[in-house]
Amino acid sequence: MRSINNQPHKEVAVSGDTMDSQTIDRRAFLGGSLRLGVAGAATLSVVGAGASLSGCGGNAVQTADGFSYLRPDDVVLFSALCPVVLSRAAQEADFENTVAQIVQRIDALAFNLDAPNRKTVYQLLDLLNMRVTRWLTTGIGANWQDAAPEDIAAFLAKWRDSSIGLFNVGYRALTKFVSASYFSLPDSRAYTGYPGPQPWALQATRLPTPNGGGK
Amino acid sequence: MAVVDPIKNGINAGWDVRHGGRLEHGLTLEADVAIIGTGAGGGTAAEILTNAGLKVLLLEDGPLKSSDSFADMEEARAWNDLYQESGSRGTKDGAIAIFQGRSVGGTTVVNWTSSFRTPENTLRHWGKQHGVEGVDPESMAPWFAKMEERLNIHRWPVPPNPNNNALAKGCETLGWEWDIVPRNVKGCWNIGYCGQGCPSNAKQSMLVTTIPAALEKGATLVHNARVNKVLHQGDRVTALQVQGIGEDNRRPNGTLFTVKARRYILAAGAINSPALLLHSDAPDPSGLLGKRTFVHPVPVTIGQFNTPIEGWHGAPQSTYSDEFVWRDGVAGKMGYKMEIAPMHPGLMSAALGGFGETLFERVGGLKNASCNLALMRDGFNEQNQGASISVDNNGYPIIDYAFNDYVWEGIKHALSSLTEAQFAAGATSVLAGHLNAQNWKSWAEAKKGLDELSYEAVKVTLFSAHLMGGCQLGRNESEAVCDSQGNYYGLENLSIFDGSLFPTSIGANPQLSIYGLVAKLATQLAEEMRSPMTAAV
Repeated sequence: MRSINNQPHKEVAVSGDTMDSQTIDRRAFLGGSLRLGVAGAATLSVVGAGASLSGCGGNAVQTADGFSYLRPDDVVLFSALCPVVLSRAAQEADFENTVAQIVQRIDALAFNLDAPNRKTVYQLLDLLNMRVTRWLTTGIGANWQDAAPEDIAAFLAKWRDSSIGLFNVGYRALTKFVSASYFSLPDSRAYTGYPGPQPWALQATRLPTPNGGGK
Repeated sequence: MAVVDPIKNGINAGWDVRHGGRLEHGLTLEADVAIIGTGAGGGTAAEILTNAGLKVLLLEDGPLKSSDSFADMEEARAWNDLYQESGSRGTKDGAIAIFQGRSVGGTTVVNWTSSFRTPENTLRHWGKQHGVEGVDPESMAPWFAKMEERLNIHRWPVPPNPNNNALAKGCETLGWEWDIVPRNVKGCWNIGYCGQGCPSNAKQSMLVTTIPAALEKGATLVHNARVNKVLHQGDRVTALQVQGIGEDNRRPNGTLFTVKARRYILAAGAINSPALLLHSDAPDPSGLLGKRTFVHPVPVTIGQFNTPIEGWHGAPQSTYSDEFVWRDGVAGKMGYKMEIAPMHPGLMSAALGGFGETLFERVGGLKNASCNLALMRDGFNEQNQGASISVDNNGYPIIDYAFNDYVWEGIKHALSSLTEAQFAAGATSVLAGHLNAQNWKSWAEAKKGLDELSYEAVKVTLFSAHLMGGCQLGRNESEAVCDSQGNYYGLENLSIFDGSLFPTSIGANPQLSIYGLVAKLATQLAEEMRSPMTAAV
C-alpha cells in the first residue's frame, strides 16, 4: 500500500490507457480469462492486450521440444525461477537435473488445466516474457536466463506484497507451480523430514496376488 | 495381506466397462437410465436404480483408476490422475484453490473420509427458508442410517494421530466442544493416504462399493466419456451428445457418440452439473442455474510444536470441533466447523507459501507441525450468495465467488479460533495462511497480528474441497432449479442427483449429505419408473 506510487505497475496502468485506445479488445482478455484477479483488472487487461498485439497471445502455439504446454521462453522462465524459489536445494550438485524434472511437472500440470485456466496461465507467462511488460511489472529488463537471482527475488516479493490482487495471484501461481512440483518429489524429503509412505504399507500394496487372494 | 484390485477382478469377470475414447464413432447407446457422473450422487443412484431392475448406463468424464495405481501413495500422481485440473482448479479471481475429484468414483476416491449427517439446523433451514419438502431431520434419518450401513460409516475407534490430537487438546484446554469423526472405512490401515486414492480399498468410496455392485448386476460404465451437451426439445431431454476422451485422459479425441434413455440423471457435481446445463442452453425458468454455488471456503493455520506430529501418517481427519458452527444462530454471522488437514509436503508447500529461505524454514518445520482448518458455512445469510458459475465457449466452467465484509468477518473469526486452539494445545508459534503473515510466537502476539492483516481475496489463503449448490432444490420454479424430488424444473425427464441440489452449504463435510439425499430421491424415482403408468412413457 505504502509504496504503490513508486511501483512500476502504476506506470503500466497509465501508459496502458494509451495502448488501449488503439485497437485492443479489452473484453477478450477480461472475459476470456481473468482468473488472475479482479483488483488490478484494468492494469493487466492492458498488459494482456499488449501481449496479443505482439503476437505472443496468438493461437498457433509452438511448445518447446518435449513439452506439451510450455513454450521455449516459458521453460527458460521457470528454470530461472527454480533456484530462487528453491534456494537451498539449488546448492545441490545435481540441481540442474532437479530443475528439469520440476519444469516437466509444471508442463504436465498446466497441460491438464481446463481451457480457461490454460489461457490465463499463458497470459501470465506472456506478460513475463515480453521485454516491455516484464520490465514494467517486475523491474527486470534482462532476459530470464541473465536475470540476477536477487532481482528475481525482489520481483517475487514485490508481487507478493502488491496491493493489486492480480500481482498477488501471479505470485501465488508462479511460486506454487515450482514449490508444489518440487515438494512432491521424493528428492525434497531431506528438507521436509517427510519419510514417505510407511515401508510396510508400500510392501503390502505391492505383494503379488496369486489367484486373487491374500498371501 | 495383499491387496486385490476389485475393479480389475470385476472387469476380468465380465463387467461391461468401456473406454469412451475407444468407442466406435457415431455409436448410439441406450438404457433405461443414463447417469452423468460417478461420484457420491451418481454412484449411489446407480446401485439403487440397478437393484430396481432398471438398465443403468454410467458416464464418467475422468479415467478409471483403481487400487493397483494408488499403491505408490504419491501426491503428484494423485493430482494428475484423480483431480479436476490436476488439483489446480480455482475461482476466477484465483482466491480459492479447489480440490475436486475427477475419476470413476469422483471426489469419494480422494476425500478424507469424514462422514457427517447433514446437521439438523441445516435441514430445517432448507425447509423453512427454501421450501424444500421431505428433508426434515426425521424424514432424512432413515436414509442417512441406510447409507451409514452401506458404507460402514462409524465413529473412528482408533486414537487420533498427533495432528488431530492437537485440535482435541486445544479445544479441551479452552473448554470448547470437540468430538471424534465418523469415517466410511472398513479394515482401514490408518496410514494416511485417503487423498491419494486409498491403496488398501478400505475407504468405502463409490469406486469400491456402489459402482461395483451396479456393474455386477448388469449396469454399464463408460469412462473417458464427457457429456458435451444435453440435447433437448420442448420440455424433454432427447439425447446426450458425448465426446470420447483420449489416452491423455483429459482431452476429447474426436470420437462422438450418443446416449438415449428414458430418464436422464445429472450427477456431475456442483460446478460441472450447472456448467453442462448452461452449455446446453437448457431452459432455466428461475434464472438460478449455476447461482448460489457454495464451497465451504477453508482458511488454515499451521502451528509449530515441540514434539513430533508427523501429520502425514494416520487417518487424516479424526477429530473436529463444532464450537463455532452456529456461533450466531443459523442465519447470522458465518459459522464454521474446525478440522485438521494432513501434512503431505506438496499440499503443505501450497498452504505455507513463501519462497527461498522462508519457504525452506517453513517446510523444515513440517514434522512438528499441525494444520487446523475451518469449513466456512456459506449460504445461510442473504449477504452471502456464494459463487456464480458460467461457461466458456467449450463448456468449461468459470467460478466467480463473491467476497464481502460479511464473509471476511467470518474468515477472520475462524483464523482467530484456529490460532487460539493451536496455542492452547501447546504450539510454540502459529502461521496463518495469508500472503503477509509472519510466525506469531504467542496468542497475545497473534491477536494483534490478526488485526493487522488485510482481509482481501487472494491475500488470505483459501482452499475448498466441498462443492455444493448451483441447482438448488426449492418450492417452485421461480425460486429454485429443481423440485424437492430433484426433478429439473425446465426439463421433465431430467433429475439432478448430486451436491448441486443443496440450497446452502452443509456446515460439515458433505459426502453423507449427498449419499442420504440421493438415496431417498433415487428410491422415489425407481418406484415411479417401475409403475406401469410411467413405464409406458
